[in-house]
Amino acid sequence: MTSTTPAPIRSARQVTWARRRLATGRMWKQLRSDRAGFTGLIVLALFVLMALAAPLIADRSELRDDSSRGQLPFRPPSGAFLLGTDGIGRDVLAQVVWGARVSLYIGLFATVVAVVIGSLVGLVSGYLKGRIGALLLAVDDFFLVIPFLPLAIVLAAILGRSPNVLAIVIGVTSWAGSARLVRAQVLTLSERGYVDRARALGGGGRHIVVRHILPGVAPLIIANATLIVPGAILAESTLAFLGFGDRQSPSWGRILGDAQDKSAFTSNAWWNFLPPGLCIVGVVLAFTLLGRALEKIFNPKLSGR
Amino acid sequence: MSPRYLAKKIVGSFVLLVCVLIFNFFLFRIVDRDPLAKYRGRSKLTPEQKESLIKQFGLDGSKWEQFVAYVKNTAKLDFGRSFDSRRLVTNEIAGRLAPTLLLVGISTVVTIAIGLWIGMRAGWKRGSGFDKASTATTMVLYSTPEFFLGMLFLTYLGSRTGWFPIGGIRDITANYSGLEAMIDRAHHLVLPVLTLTLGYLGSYALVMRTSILDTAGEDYLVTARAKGLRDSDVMKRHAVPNALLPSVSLIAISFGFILGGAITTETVFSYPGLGYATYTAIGNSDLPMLQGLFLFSSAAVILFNLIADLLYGVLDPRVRRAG
Amino acid sequence: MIAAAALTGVASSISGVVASADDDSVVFTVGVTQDIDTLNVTAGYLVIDYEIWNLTLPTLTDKASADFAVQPSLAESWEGSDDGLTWTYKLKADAKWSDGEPMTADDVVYTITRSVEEGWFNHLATTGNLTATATDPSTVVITSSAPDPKLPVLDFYIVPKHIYESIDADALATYPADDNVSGGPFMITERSESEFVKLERNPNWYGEQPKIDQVIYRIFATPEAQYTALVAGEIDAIDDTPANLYADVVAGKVANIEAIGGNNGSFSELAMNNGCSTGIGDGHPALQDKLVRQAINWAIDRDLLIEKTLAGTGVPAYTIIPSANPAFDYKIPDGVEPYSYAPDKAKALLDEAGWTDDDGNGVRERDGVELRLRYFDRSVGTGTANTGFITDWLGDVGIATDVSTYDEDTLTALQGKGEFDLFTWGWSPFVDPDFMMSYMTTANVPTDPDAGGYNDANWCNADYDALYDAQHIELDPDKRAEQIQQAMQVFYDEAPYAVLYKYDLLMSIRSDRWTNLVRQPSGTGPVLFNQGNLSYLALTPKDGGSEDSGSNTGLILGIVGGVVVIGAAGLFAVKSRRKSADDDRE
Repeated sequence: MTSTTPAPIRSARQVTWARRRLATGRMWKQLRSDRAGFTGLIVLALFVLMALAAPLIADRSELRDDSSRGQLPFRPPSGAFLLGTDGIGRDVLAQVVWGARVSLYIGLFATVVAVVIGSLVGLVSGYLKGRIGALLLAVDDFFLVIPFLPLAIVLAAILGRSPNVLAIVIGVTSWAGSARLVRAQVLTLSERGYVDRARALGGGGRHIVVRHILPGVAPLIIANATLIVPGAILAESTLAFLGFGDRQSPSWGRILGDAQDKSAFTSNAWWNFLPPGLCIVGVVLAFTLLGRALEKIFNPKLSGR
Repeated sequence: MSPRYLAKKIVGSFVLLVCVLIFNFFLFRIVDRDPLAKYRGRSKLTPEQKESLIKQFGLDGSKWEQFVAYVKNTAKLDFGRSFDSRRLVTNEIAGRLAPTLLLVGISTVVTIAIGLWIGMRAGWKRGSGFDKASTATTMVLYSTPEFFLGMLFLTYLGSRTGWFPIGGIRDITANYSGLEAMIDRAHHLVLPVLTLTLGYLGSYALVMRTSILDTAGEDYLVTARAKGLRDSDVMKRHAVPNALLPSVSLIAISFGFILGGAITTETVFSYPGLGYATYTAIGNSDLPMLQGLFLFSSAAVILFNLIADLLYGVLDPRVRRAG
Repeated sequence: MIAAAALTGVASSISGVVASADDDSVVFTVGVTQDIDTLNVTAGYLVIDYEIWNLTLPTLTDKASADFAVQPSLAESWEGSDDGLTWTYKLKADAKWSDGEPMTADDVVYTITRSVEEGWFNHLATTGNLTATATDPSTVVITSSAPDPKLPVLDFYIVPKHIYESIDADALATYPADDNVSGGPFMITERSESEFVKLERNPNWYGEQPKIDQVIYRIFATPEAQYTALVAGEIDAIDDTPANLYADVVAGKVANIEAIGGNNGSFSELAMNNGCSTGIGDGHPALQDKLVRQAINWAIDRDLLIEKTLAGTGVPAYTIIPSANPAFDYKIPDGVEPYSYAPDKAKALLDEAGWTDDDGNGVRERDGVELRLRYFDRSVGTGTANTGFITDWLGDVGIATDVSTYDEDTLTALQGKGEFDLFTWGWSPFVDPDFMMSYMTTANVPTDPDAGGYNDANWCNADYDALYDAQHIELDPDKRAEQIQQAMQVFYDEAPYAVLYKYDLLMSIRSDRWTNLVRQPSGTGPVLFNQGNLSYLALTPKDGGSEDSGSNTGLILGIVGGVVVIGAAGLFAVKSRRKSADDDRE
């Protein structure tokens, strides 16, 4: 994009930000044109909307166990209960809608934890290639090898089962893949000569990492993060279903676990288990589609697909 | 593959194993589970009884002494006794290994066959109806939690229709033998295998498709096409073998992971393998069992990672040369 | 290709039918959701363990199905001394263990002596005061050091001396009890972890031979899975029908399945740390005040819990249930209002106790200490379904709770150390009230954090102790019953627990295959998993029952076999076609 009128003099920083805004605009256009990715984004937005609008759809008190007082269990959907009632007579819609908050929150928080740890480890081990780098790489290998589910369950048993703790536990057991990716990218960038040139010009370690490497790695981290969320949400729902999650919060996995305990499957109370299950599939799919689209955008080589 | 490469990989794996060993020890020491709890609530232990129990469970001595004993025992493959059954952990694991191997082995083979085929076809004919449909299907399957899939199958293909048994590994009232026994086992395996397969199908198909797409643009393929070789020949002889490489890794690594116990699938189907054993051990805080299972599954993953690395070294000329 | 597949299908369906026709041994398969922890009678304590011991280990006396009245087992007759302290039992002559070794008075003496010496907890409460001698191979003289109203009932499990004498005390702690030497109507023949336990008729059993040849306990991960298997005809009975589905079974809506649940006195409670064991533990001081504990009792809606958690299969309870025999249940005297759901009453009591919410945050406090209690949930059992309800109700009256989940053993350890405030658990009483009642005495309060104790409410009450001691040696049954009632009255007033309800055991059985289902006690008790093995002896197969599943399975196997083969063939065909199609362009 060229302009013929003489542009006002801008500072280096302004130029950088203008460049970034341009790049972002371009990315947005690319995303818009990627049908799968854009669909994922829309679906995601809808779920977030549902989570935020929860108090408007169902009062929080409907999550209480004794909100089932006077209501029959496993009533099919009706005017009063759009998604029917669960195994003890609670409103399923209320749980699914509030459950969105829990599942999304834990999924996102866990991803943040995983990405932060993973990126730090990846950055440091990629940049400081020496002994520290090798050590971090070993730690990363280690976490790739440990069986995830038992570790998560055991940690949850030790540390507690509140949503925050669960998110941290899932994050801590999921960062290994990110670190690998970030490290590989850092190595690539280092080889491109920026680093040597910057050093030659007198830049210190931190400056190089922040100014040169980080911007090169950031898009990859974001794309990768979007692909970690699905894993985190699936992990949380599995933990909750098996009974190792937070029993008190209506995450979709817990709704499914309760449904199974109360024999919803045998009673064919499909309104109790299909909605939360499909929600999980929906959110996970949306994030996956979005993530793949972002990957393509940030890594043009992939755009051939 | 150069000897240096081989040595490097093997040493690396060994170091990893040692780290896992150490981690294993400390993780389960942090869990605040008292093995004598079972005995306490119910009876008054005499000091002699307490001492002997403590010795049996390996809880005497300082942490360092315990650790040394633990390492020595692990080398002897002695993981102690399960808190619940009081039998040797090694025997417990050995007893559950076969069912899991059967389940995981068959699932992996089927998943690889179908997944790779789908991926190949989809990748080669990018944008075709098949590609779109298969990618959509595999992505949806990939997004479905394993337990949900399992429960749906168990309910709709198992209890509602009566086509398949409700979990378990065999019909224990009928005394089948020979071919009948095998068919009975196969009958019981159908739903769990279906669940595991569909769950992992997505990853294989997608990776294979990506690999094919990656290699599709490569120079040597363009050359092959220009030389007039037919599409399918090009795919078979050049693209597929090269595209297989990442899949090889993925296969080996996934096998290692799933061997650690397809916990959710086994639990949903009451299938008495390592995964179900892990689930019950966690529920009962059976630390020696957990320690043994943990170690076993980590070791399996390390082993298969090593195999994958070695295979890669053999198959990929680039790696071979880099040594 | 297709022809081959069809042949396989036909072949296996034929073989399926043939297999079932050959098999005419009577097999009774029970679905259970709990695997044995150990068959070692000195270490196990799960319900399934006891059920198997009931089938494989002999006892001196038995309990009648109708009303638990004492009746002969290994002991044919007995006679008591005038002071009631010495009893002479005459054993069946020629009784044998399943391995052919004679079952004699020596085995009885050996069991009693060793159980006392080594403190076998499954025996100690019964044999603790006993000494025994064998005056001849079929006569045992047993003396109690104190008057014992339980005698002459002696239903502790007798172990085979010839097996156990070679196992020393240390080895016994980890003995897996796989000797399979049985003295009961059945003997264990095969066991597969987390899968099943198979028992076969013991030809050497001294009692009436059962009409069943084989009993198999098949382990399922969930009650739902075992229910589905029952309906599908794969098993004959289950120990735990999912509460929601049980209502359908009771109403007769499920073909061929009959409800055989019953009540054996099992109850659930919210236990509280009454703070007795001074110096141990850190229970919240509020719980040491009777008013607070009563307030908690008034804050809980037992009826709603029964309706929602048990699907109506239970009755409210306010004290411990001393016995499987409902005759001993506490009867609330006229004029005393039973606890019910009355949050206002609860609030009033808390105010009276000095706990008020001055800072308006919804949680009461006193002298700067918040009324915030640790609530320990168990990772298994129906108790967890109550947690949400109870914590909400406590919150409503100003008691804050922090919920943590623990497995049973960890919870036991914490309870032993006194480091808890509230937790949910349950008990299943024995037939004689003495056992259950003893658990709540001061003597059973943990005094050493390493030792633990049965009194998990940490409750000391001198009145209760006195009444317990009195009934412990009271030989007059009417006087004893009265003392027990009074002890329960104390329990009700002091409310060391918030007992929730007595719950039914929801068992189901295939009524098209089995008949002569005997309850213990008659009318209200369960058929299986009760206090003995008499139901198994009574159980009779109906004609033409067990063959159905055989041919069905065969046919299904055939279909599956065919499908698998066809599928594999198809895949193979597709692949080979692809290989040969050269001009595959799209």
